[in-house]
Order: sequence, then C-alpha cells, then structure tokens
Amino acid sequence: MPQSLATGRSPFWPPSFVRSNAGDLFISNGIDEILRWNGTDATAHSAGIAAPATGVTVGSSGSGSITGTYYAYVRYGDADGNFSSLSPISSVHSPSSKAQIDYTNVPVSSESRVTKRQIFRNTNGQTTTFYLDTEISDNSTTTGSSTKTDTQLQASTELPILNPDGTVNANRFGEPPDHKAYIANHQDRLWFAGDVTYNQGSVQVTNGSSTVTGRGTAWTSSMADREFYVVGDSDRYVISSVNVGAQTLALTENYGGTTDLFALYAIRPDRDERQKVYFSEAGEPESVQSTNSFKIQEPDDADDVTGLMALGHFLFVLMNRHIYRINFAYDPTEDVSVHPVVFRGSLNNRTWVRVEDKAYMMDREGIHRFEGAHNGGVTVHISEPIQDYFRNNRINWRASRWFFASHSPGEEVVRFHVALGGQYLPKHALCYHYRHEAWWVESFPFQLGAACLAFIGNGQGNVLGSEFETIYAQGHGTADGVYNYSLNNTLRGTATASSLYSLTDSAASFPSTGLVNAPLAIVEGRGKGQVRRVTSVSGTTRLYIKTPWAIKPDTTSKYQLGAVPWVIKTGRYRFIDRDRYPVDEYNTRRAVLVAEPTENEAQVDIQTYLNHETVPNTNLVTLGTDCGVFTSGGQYVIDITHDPNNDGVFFSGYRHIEFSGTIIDPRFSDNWMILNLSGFQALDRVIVHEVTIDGVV
Amino acid sequence: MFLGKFQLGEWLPLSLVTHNASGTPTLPDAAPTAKIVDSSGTTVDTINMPIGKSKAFITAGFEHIHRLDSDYSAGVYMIFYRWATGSGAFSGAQSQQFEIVAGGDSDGNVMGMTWMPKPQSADVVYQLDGGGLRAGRNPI
Repeated sequence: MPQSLATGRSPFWPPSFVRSNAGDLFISNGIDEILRWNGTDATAHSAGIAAPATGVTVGSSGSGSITGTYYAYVRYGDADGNFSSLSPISSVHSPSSKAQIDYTNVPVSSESRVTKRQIFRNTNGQTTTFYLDTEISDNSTTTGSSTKTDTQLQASTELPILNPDGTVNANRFGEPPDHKAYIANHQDRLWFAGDVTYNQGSVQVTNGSSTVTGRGTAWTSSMADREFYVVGDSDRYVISSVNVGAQTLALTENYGGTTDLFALYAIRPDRDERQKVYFSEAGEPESVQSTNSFKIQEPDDADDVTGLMALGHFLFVLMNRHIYRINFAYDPTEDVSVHPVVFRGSLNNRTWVRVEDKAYMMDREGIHRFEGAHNGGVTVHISEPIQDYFRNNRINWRASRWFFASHSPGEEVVRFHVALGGQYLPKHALCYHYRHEAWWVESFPFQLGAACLAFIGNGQGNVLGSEFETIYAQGHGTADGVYNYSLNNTLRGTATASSLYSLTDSAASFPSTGLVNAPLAIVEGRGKGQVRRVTSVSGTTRLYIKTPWAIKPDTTSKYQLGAVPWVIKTGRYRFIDRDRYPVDEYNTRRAVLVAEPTENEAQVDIQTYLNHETVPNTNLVTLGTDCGVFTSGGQYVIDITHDPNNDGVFFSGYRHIEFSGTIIDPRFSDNWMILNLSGFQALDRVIVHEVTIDGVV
Repeated sequence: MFLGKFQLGEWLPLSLVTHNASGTPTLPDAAPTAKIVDSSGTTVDTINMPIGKSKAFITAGFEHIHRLDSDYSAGVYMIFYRWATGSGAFSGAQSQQFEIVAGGDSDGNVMGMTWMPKPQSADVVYQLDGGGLRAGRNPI
C-alpha cells in the first residue's frame, strides 16, 4: 500500500518537487503550504517551522548565586535539527541571589513536527548574544527551569542575535513562501519563484461588504494577503483571511463594485511579488527570510514566471517568452545578478527536461534545445518537422498547465506530453530522438499526468503516472496496462458473442486481476480497429467495457488485450513518370517490408493514399499468389507471425507488395502516393526494419 | 439527459442554463443547486453551482466539474437542479442522469510525481487530483 504523506492538496495546479542536498523532498504548488518530507516520517510536514507567537514568562526561586537582569527567547525545533525563529522577547526579570530560573507559559507549537523547545537567556549586562539555557524535549510541557549561572551559560550553545556584519542570525529561520509555485535546488540553497492565478468557480460579491462567498471554489488559508480581482471591476482588493470551511473570503476593505451574485474572479499574489525570486539560507533550505529575495526587471515586455531550472553552474528563471540566468558569487543578498539569455521560454515548470548539459523545452512557438551552460546561453529551434502541431492549433492549449516532458535515457528520446483532444491530461506525446534528430507522435491509451526517471530493475527508466492512481513503467513488457497474468491466461482470441458493453470468448481464460483499465482492441474481422477500455471481468470468459462498441464484434472478430496500436506513415511520394524517368520496361510500383517475425500472432495493415485524398485507396494493391498479402475486412494485410498457419511455412521477414497503375499523362493520372502501415503490438514487440517504395521519386 | 458512463476518480461535468417561466435564459435569484442522488434516493452531494467561464456569451450558463470520490460507488445517479427566478415567482427544475461503472479509483489521477531515493529504499512520490500525496514502491 502506498504511504499517505498528505491529503487535501489542491488539484488546480501541478506540484513542483525538489530534493535538498540533505535529501529532504520539498513540494510546492503556489496554492497550499509548501511541504517537506524527510523520507522517514509517516507524513510530510509544512516546510519551515513557524516561530512562537508568544514569549515565555521568566521567574526565579530558591537561594543561590544567580543575580542579574535577564531576558529569554523560545524557539521550536524538530528531530532533524531544524529550528524556528525566536519568539517575542520575554519581560525583563532581575533575580538576586536565586538558585534557579523558572520558566512558565512556554509556548506550544501546533505543528506535529516540533519535538522540542529551546529557551535562550542572556548573560547579565548584554543582550546581543543569548545562550541555550534549557531544552524541553517535548511539545507539551509549559514549564521549565535552569540553575545555570552566567559562567555556565557562556559554556552553552551561543546564539548571537545578529551576525558580525549586522545581518540577521537568530531570526533567519523564516518560512518558505507558500505563494511561490516552483522550487529549485541550486548551490546548496532552495529557490522559489512563480505564482498561480486561481480562478476556480465563481463568487458572490456585495457592494459595501467585505465578505466574498465562493461557489465551486476550493480556497486555502494560504490565499490570505493575496489580491482579489473581479471581472468587470477596475479595483483590486487584498484578502485578509480565508474561511476554508465556509469558502468565504474577508477583504481588508469593503467591495466597492456592483453587487453580483455570479461574478468571475481571480486571486493572485501582490503585483510586486510576481517576478520576485526568493532563496533560502545556504545549507538551510527551510530558512527563507523575507529579505532573501530579488526581483527580475524585464527589459521589454511583461512576462510571467513559468518555472525554475538548475542547469550546469547556473540557475535559470523560465518565463513564457524569456529565460533569465541568475548569477552570484558569494551571497545572493549582496551580489546576485540577473541576465536575460534567450527570447524563448517554457510553457510551465514541467515542459523542460535535462539531457546531459542541455535542456529540451516546449513553449508556444515549438520545441527548442537550450544550451544554457555554454556560450552564454543559446537555444536552437528543433521542432520544424512537426511544426504543424503548433501552427494549426492542433494542441489543446487550454490544458497546457498539465503538459510535461519526460526523458527516456535508454531510448535516447525526449517526449513532450500534450493534450490534442478535449481531455485535460495528456494522451499524446511529441517524441524526439536526440541522437538521430527524428520526430514522431505517440498516443497512449490512458491519460498521463506526470513522469519521472527511476531505477527499475538494473537500469534507469521512465515511469508514468496515469489515471486511477496507476503508475506504469515505460518500455517494460509489451502489452499496455496488463499485469499479473500467466501464460495460461488469454490475451488474444476470437469473440464468440458480444453486446454493446461486453465481449465474450467462451474459450478464454481471462485472469481475475490485472485487466481492469487495459485496452481491448479488435484486431481482425468485424469491428476491426476499435479500442475500448476494460472496466471489469466476469468469470473467465467475459469482458465489460466502458464505452459501447460502434460496430459490435461477431465471431469473425479477433481481439487483443493490452494492444498497442502503431502506425508508420510515409511522406507523399511522386510516381515515376515513364516519359521523364524511363527506369525499366514495366515501371514497377512496389513496397518492400522487412520486419522481425513474431512468435505470437501479429499483422501489418497496408493502406495507400493517392494524390491528396484522405480516404485510403482500396484497389491499388495487386495481389499475387505468392506475395504474402491477403485481405481482411476490406484491408490489405501482411501476417508477420513466424509460422502464421502452424504448417511449417515460415515468414522469412521479407514481403513485397505491388501496386497497379502507371502514368501515361500526368494530367489524367494518379501522381502521388502515401504508404501507411499499421497494426497492434501485444505479446511480441513489432519491429519494422525497413520500408522501401519502388516506382516513386 | 444521460451524461454517460463514468468511473470513480473521474470528473463529472455539470452544466445548466437557468430560465424563467417562459423559458428565456435568466439568472436565478441565488446560485442554483445540484443535488446528486443515488438509486436508493439518498442524497450524496449538494452543490451550489458556479457561473460558467463563458458568462459573457452564454446567459445564465452554470458549469462545474465534480470529482467522483469515495462517496460514490458503481450504480446509476440522478442530478436534480433547482433554481428560482423573479424573486421566487418561478421555480425551475431540471434533471440529468449518469452511471458509474467499475474500474475506477476514487483517489483520482496522478498529476505530479518524482523519484525519491532514500538510504533504506526508494519511492515514487506522487500527487493525485483527489488531493492525496503519496509515496509508493513497486507492489509486484
């Protein structure tokens, strides 16, 4: 069972993850509080520890040698050695010849990660350095005491209020900024940037009232202090507090616009915050003072921060149309510099992926290779072969916040997962082989929400997060979404009956687990090409599907569970004109397929498209008795099974098909052709080594 | 109207155009409610519908996407919308139907993930659109 680290996180914006150098994981989304998980605790905790809101009361008792004027501070700590800033200072106490100092009203933290409280006291005559007087090793006791004299105090842990250069020391443990959506780890510091515009649902606003009521909203307490905008109103307001249960906002002033029961709105951090970058103290990823920040001054147009990227020796701030490089030598509070590098950007914090010392990234213009570690930062546009996807708005940009990139080192491929249809999570990927510089497009039977590299078995591979809390190991196994089955189970067969929502194979032995949500494809016979998703298995012979069959399978229909559809579609080639290119007497038009024979049944469908037609031609192929091509369901098919008929006549791996026609007069002839090969992979990997077309130029 | 078949963990799109007594699209007196009732008549959820993002183009169009969480199970559900216009002069009602079929997961879809190597093991940490943040290892 997975371990539950947190609940109630917003689904509005994808999370940003980063590990600190100490190995702790930090998670932000700009809406909820930033979380930290150390890998061993049962749950994740809020990043940073809030300082005590009240001070401790100092008193004294008994007879002894403690005499002086004393103040005290309290701070919280956790088991990993992280601390909060200090509480307010206590009232002064001046004991004379007392045996011990007594502490009462020791504040208690509401945070479960706090396991101890430390009380610091000054020595008589100075208040610039405090010393650890006592540590309470729980988060419940409200009293404590100490018998330390000044001499003994000075031997204890010292805590200067300020550093020698005047900068803050004891109160440097500010909490990370929850309103920042993206985190990066760079040079032993965590960096925070970017914000989220929240506009889920609608609001009821009333003129003269400071209360705003949400409908269909999921506001969080972190939205306090952010700005509130109403569509159609020219003013902006500041949120003073959020009632999360009632989904109401309290504004710092009354709403001055027109009363509207059904107003559209937006919540966003203060305008000065939007291009501000925060950073933690070195080696203390949870210590972020409000002064640990700088603002990116844009030279040309206003752009929004979309991500953070540590690459090589630099940190880069990603925007929609710009990339900025962050430099510092010693301390970013003193010597940070910001340089615009290129005028390309990244759609979001997940649409870039690092490969060696380069980053491949997607913006609205296409996909580019950013070589930020070299030459001061250059970028190369690489997606020209698939630029139609960007030019013709084939990409569903409304879902762009969910797009992400993944890297498969074994394949040497980067994938940009995008939504081409109406669903919100991507089902397609624009794929780029960065050694061969080749592009193709993949579609997936499931929506995918995220990816990351992981060690699987003995190697590094890609894992994909998908629907219904399912995580797939990419490239492991050949059948999609099918697991926990044995060789005795049926994954391919012939239907014996069907209904709108089911398929029955009376000879099958379907496993009881491992098929739910797997794709079920009709690969031969009636209804060929339909792919549906399995919702349940009845007995061992019947599968139920989510959406009805458009064409009900019958006893001619062969099905495949876990089928992976594939397509090879060539470019448009021109037939040889005999008058201009007298290549041979017959001017043969032919396609040659060289494919790996498969152990289990597998076929390749052949289609041709003439000229600029969008419907495949059905009579172009010339069937000979020995060409190895047959027709199925009105389509030409090559069986690439090693022993297709179980008769010892093996598929050699070579087939060629001949096409009819010749060009007599180009004005009245077919001039161009596209060859389309397709099929379904399942138990065997389908490997096409070569496709050759003769008779074209 | 039948909205279709869904699975637990999916998002159910709710939409409604409120109207007055003569059928003209009209904004209601208050947010319309959508009551989701199971086949036994038990109310599972009551939602105050927000106005749609196309407010400027679709008069009185209300939209909401509702996640099918663990309050639901396989079966047929009815959605009863109710609203009033003209200070209560007209009470409107409309109903829709949907079915939940097997195969989903009420905790939702993975919407973000990372690899978390630790000294003792390594986890995939992921967030679900149901709000859960989880860490897991290969169960097989």
